[in-house]
Amino acid sequence: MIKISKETIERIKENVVKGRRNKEDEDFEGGSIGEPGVEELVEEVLKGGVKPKEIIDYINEAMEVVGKRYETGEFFIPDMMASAEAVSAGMKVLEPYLSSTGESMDKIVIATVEGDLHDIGKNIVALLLKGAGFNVIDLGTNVSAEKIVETVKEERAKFVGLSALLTTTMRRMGEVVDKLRAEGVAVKVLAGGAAVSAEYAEQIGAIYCKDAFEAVEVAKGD
Amino acid sequence: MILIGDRINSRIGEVKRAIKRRDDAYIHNLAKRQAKKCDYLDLFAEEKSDMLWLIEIVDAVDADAELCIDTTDVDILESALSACRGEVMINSISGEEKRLSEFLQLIKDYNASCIALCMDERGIPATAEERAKVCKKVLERCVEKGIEDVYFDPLVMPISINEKNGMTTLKTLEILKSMSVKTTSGLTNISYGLPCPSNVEVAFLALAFRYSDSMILNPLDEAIIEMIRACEAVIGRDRFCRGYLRAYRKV
Repeated sequence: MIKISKETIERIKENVVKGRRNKEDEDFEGGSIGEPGVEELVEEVLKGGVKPKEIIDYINEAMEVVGKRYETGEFFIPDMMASAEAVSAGMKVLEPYLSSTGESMDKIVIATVEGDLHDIGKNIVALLLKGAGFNVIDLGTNVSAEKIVETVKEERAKFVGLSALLTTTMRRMGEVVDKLRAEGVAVKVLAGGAAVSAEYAEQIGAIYCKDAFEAVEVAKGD
Repeated sequence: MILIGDRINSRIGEVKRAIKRRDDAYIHNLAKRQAKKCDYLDLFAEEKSDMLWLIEIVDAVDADAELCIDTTDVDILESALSACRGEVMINSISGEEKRLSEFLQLIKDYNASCIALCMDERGIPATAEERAKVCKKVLERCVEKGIEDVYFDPLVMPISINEKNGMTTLKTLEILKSMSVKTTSGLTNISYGLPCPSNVEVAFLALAFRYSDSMILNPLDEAIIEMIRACEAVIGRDRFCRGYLRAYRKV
């Protein structure tokens, strides 16, 4: 077995924060071109025998750093998008190893509720959840309660994430939760979006997530 | 260039709070300051009672700017239209069939102008060509109904989410112009999620200007207003640079 130094694994983390998918990407200062990015590094450590689970832990730690920097205003949305994309690229390399070792990923169904066509926030959440190792089933925007419940049942999802930008469409979230409960579907409901408040989420029996990072934290903490 | 001021919008935290506590002085002031710089004042509130209250306050402002009712709810629109006194613009119709037929009737009845979004029930098309297709459909419906005063909105999406978003909008504007329709764009969307938003908005404004008949923007941002004056002069819509010079002499 090839020895992999701790340093190489640390570099995965560093490159996720920098949002470098592969050797062609630049870092914040415009440098690093030609040096291995997340794709190459993940490939390297996998070949060296490091367990996929361990790599995912490092990636998660890196995304926590990104989340903190976003919260403090040091990072902006494009920084976050670059990191999430780098993670997706790394996960693609990891995927075949995951299935062969039998480590399955939790499923999460995500949707913008009926009547609402806004998807910027929902897409960021989906991207970060994928990055955190979840199997994300994105139903898109303007999705009926029936469709959401049906998919949750079919996919045996562990979580469902609902998004709404408008106060008027936010109320649809309550309908989705009621329908899920009425059909006895045991799934955790995450609610977010500009219109949604912690109070409203609690009222309908959902878990409030103020942003994409909190959604990932909630899902992972379970 | 028809300018539509976008500050009276309940999605802006401070405005939302002012609406909630029925702070008429705050809204009156915001309307008055914007009205000095633009032709229409966009009013957005999600609840009907809030929208009607806004109309009452803004209609009472002694200024030349007209109202632009920003809603997707036919019930709110109908009440708003019957409450407005002057000329009205409606923001917005789209390719969404149900809203299109209901709104067009009201637009006709009240002889209003309107903004048409290049999207339908499936959401916002990814490409300029598909957006133009939606525009074509809406245009046909407007012509059928005898409605002419329509501004097509190519849909501005943040470049922070996808760096191609700016070009998709610019390309859509170019196609819309080649179809000889009037256009308008929401400027603040382009800069969402980025620092120094005004810089990004000014850049988009300059690039979009020649394909634009109107802009929905923050008229209280002096950099944007200055850029509009400069652009008018550069593309030859400002005879003897009179508008540009007038602004210069005032300073």
